[in-house]
Amino acid sequence: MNGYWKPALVVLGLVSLSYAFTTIETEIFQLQNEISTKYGPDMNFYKFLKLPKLQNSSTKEITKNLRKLSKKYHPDKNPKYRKLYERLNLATQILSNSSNRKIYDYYLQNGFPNYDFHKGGFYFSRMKPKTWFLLAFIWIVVNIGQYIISIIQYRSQRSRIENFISQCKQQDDTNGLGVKQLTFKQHEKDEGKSLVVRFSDVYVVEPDGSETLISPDTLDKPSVKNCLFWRIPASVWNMTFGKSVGSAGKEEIITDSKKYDGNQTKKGNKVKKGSAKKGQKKMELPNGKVIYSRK
Amino acid sequence: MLKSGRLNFLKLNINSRLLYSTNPQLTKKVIGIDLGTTNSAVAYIRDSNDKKSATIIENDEGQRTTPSIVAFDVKSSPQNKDQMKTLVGMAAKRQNAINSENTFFATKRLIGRAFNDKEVQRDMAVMPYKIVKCESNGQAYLSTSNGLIQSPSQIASILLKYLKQTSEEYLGEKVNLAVITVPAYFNDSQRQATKDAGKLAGLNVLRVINEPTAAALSFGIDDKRNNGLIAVYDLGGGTFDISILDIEDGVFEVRATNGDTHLGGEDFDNVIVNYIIDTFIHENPEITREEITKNRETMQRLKDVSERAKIDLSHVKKTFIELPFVYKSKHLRVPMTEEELDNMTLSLINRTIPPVKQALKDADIEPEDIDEVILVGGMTRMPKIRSVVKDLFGKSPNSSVNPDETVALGAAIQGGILSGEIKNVLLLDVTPLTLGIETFGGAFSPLIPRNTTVPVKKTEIFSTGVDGQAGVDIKVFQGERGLVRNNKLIGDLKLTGITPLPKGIPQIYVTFDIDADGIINVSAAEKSSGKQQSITVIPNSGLSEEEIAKLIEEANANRAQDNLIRQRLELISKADIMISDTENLFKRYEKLISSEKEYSNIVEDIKALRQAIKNFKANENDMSIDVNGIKKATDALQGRALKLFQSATKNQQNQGK
Repeated sequence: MNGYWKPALVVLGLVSLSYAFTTIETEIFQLQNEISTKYGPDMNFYKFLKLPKLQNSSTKEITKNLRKLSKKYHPDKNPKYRKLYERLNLATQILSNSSNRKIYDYYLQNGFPNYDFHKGGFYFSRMKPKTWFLLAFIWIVVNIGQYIISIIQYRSQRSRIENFISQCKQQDDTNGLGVKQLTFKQHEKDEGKSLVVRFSDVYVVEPDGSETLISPDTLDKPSVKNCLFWRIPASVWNMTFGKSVGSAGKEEIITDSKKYDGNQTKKGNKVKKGSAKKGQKKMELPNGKVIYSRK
Repeated sequence: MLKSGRLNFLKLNINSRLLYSTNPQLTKKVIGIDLGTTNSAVAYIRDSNDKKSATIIENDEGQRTTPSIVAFDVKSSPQNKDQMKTLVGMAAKRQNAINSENTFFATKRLIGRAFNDKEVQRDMAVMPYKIVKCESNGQAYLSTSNGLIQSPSQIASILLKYLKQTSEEYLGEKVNLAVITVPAYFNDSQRQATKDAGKLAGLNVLRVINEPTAAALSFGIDDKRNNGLIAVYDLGGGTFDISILDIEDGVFEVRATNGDTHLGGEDFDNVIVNYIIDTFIHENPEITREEITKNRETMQRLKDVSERAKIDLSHVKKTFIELPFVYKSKHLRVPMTEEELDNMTLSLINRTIPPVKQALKDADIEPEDIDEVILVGGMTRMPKIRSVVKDLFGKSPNSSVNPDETVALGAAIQGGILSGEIKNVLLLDVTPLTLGIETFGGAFSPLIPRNTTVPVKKTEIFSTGVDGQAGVDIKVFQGERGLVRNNKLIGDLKLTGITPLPKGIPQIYVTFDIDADGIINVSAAEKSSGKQQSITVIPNSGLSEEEIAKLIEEANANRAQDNLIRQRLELISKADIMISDTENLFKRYEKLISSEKEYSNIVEDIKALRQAIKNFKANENDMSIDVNGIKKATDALQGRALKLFQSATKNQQNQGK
């Protein structure tokens, strides 16, 4: 179960990364926020700089435009325009740099984040345009994680079954050369299930008399296809239901295995007690359960 | 700190009004000052309606430039070193040879620098005066032979005060507004220290502008050439600057600037001095180099003669360096040709080439795109430099600009722009150095790159890295290197009192502000719950605000006494002139008047007054001397002499009958 935390941590990390804006982005957001607050929501850098061609202006035109604005708004001409000129200067610097201008144009088209102190700064009030790509990436990571986890589980279950088979064979006094009848009980009052060890293979005897082989090979091996298949929405419910049933079945085996392990130390005493009875052989399993031989 | 600044300003203003009560209308005239390493100049706008009317102000000796030299007469006041007589300009230069340890020149190299700066350490080895470390701030200070310690800003303020006084006499009105030029590559500390010097001199420094920018202003103010790209090649006495400017319809925009703060004419002089010493030693094997270099008087004479030779070779192809009695009664006569000088100094000239190429690269301009090349600084009169510049840009530099005066003229024009005298002209200057902060591991993180148009403001958001962290420490550096230890520390911002919050939540807005002077202010504000807490960084310059205020108060307190001493000096000067005139007349007409009764008495009185005047000059600061008495006695004596002449004339006429 602990293995599931790893994909979660990865997801958290990815989410965190995707929401950490770069320095230039923060600068753009701040300046845009300032001029929007002062001049209205429709204001943008192009209007702020009074560019005749707005977004179609070339870099050279933007640079020349600042010179023209400087004649009127430079603090040397009128000290009260100090703050305004600083903003004009910064806006021009951003738009004069082609990569920074692309960043600005992207957010101008797709929306700027809002500012909220308690949320740690700028945040988006709606889903970020790049979110779908991000979600797809997260989904892939989750499935890879699931695949890794299912491999781990498969190996664990396989080792438990093999352990159970090994313990049954220890009760076979024919050394794999004949047929040995065993009874498996969960506890003393249980009617028990019949087990047959025939030529080193362990079988469960069903009520109708048929025998089912117990073997780790009956487990489904994990594969990438299973994970990928999980992505189909229509199959999600079925896959979950099926997985739940399978898991329930495996849990029984796991429980049995634990009981066996927990009672290893009592084996010696009960064997002696069983041998005292006459007429019927009685064998004690390590977990305290007793198997009687049939005549 | 802001309140303290305002109070200081109000106090200064009140004092100024009281002191100048006879002339209540303060002028709005702005003078432009070219505070050069070796020479300084002052200019003003003569006619507000003519933007080309910037004019150089001549000093009291009729010269258009003044040597940037300040000397202290240690013998004038043996007891009180704070009241020593100071000499400025040519007067200081003339007595340099006999008072070299108290004659401070080229102090511009030290202004705003830390004592441990490698340039300062280098200057200590070659300068005849003493450079010491100021214990309180680690800056380089200067010391006279009798122990008076002054900061380079204070030395510069003495020079600026002289220039201010000269301007007031020339203009016939009070002057208190100025624009001062600095090398383009000066960093924040150096600019702040220069501004402090103006403040100490009683000037309100409206702007500190870059020297090459000022030169371009002077050149491009003419309507016929107010469009195009200009390169300004500025090689002065101590610094080299190259700037690329774009002029368009009255807007002067600096595109790039670069330079070397330790390359100038004095380096050329030193090359010649070494050559002369080598020649002299070769001719006189019994004399060693150390004997000459340790003799300060000899070295000073050699420097003077080297400078003259350098200047001569700008006009003629060959000259002779002649100096009698150089050392141990040996004479010096060394011929030198222009070609030899060029070869000697070629390595220095070549040092100017990389900054030029870097500036062109920063401006994204090819050399052939430059429309005009302007030469600034006395060193650019050297023919070899002109040919190198021609090779660099592919065209001959413009020779209509006076290299010595154009910077001061440009500063005056900028003053006119700021005061409103000049319309339709605007200067857009840039930062010469990149501003940044220290990040982990000592890396330099640029915030405002060089060649950014000023004024500029940038805000950076910081946060805490530890839960409940209550303070942040931000170090601000200036320079171009990748590690902070190679750059100049401007200031250390320590913001405390942050509201304890989990890490990453506090938002600390740190604003980096470079004003139009190129001086940096850093302030920080934490916006938790909407409250704003602002702290202003005190720049790490030579003088703190308190020290400046104290020095200004001392200057104001001494102002009355200085004026009084000046009046006394004027009275004695007049008396001296009158006595001299009387003495000359008596000598000329001795035969005629020697028979008169009063003659012998008057002659004795003349001698007594002459002695009294001599006594005053030897003890100018002695207030007990009755200056008014001397003046009255002189006036009376002149009256008696007049009567004597009248009587003698009558007697002669009687004898004629």
